[in-house]
Amino acid sequence: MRDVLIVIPAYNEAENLPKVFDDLKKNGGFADVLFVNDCSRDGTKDLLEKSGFDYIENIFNVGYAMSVQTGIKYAVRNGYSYVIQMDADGQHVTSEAKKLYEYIKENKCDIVIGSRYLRKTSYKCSATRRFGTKIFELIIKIFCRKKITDPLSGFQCLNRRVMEKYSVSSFYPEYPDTNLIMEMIFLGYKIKEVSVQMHSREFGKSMHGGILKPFKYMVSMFYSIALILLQNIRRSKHE
Amino acid sequence: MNNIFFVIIILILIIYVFMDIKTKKITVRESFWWSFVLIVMLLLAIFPYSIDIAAGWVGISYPPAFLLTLCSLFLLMMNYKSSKKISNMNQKIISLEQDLAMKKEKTHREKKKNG
Repeated sequence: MRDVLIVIPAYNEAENLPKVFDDLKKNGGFADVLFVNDCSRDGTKDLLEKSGFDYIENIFNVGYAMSVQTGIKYAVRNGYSYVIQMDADGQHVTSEAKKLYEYIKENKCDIVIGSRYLRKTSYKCSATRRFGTKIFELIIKIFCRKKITDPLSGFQCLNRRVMEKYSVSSFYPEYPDTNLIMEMIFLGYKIKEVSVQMHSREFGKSMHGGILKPFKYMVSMFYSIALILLQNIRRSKHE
Repeated sequence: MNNIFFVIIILILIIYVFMDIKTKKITVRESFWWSFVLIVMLLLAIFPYSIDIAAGWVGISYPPAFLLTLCSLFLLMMNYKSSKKISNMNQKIISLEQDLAMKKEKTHREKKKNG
């Protein structure tokens, strides 16, 4: 058993998985790998079964965040020191995951975020997505006085302290993005960013695709951020 | 006459809740606020003028509006309590699901190992 576990939640990613498997087999020797299949209906389970990678099959569909949390809980229970969160859509590159792992070990920080925007890379995203990211970057800068260039990145490496915190059921939110980063900054966790190369999704739709979903996401995110800010005011008053 | 009609209706509702408690369809804890509000309604049906007095205390000149406000507040409170309960249950269900999924994975892995 290695000391780092790559957790990959998957939902209807059968078309993208073969490429992810190849990448993991080629470059993922430094880590153990665990997929969390969130009751996919497109043959993802069969592919995982044949791939030889360990996987957890959810009993029913619990969503992205809770699938990630399942993987984190698994890592905590099995004694891993680090977890790397990756997506199953092929956006995240295993060799870049190694960069995050090496960085967290060398720099003794709690969370390392793989950023698409820290340095200029060949990654291309839509203007609306970039605009949304900029808004959240600005919010973090104003309220936490910290520059996080890619707060929407799910490509992260966590140490044991963070894993234990995230595995508490009531702590981990439905959308673990800017709100969670802000909460962790307020709680005193050390967060760093590393520039990484990412690919665009080749097949299928993103979980934030469509018209209504991004709107719902933005509203939920602003609401969560407002609550965190209120909690932090209360917390700082108590201290 | 009106009062007797309301008293009978409320008594039927109280018996209905009581029977549900007896047959364990609702827990004593969950039934508490419903029983409480039914008793208040029973008292109001027996002493209807008490609504006028209470409305006067809080400065509402039209007593039925006071009654309606009280009912709305009660229903809102019960609805919020239900939302809290649902959130709590959701968390517990997902936690159970995660435990079960991990146990399944462990069993699956051991089976594979043992051929």
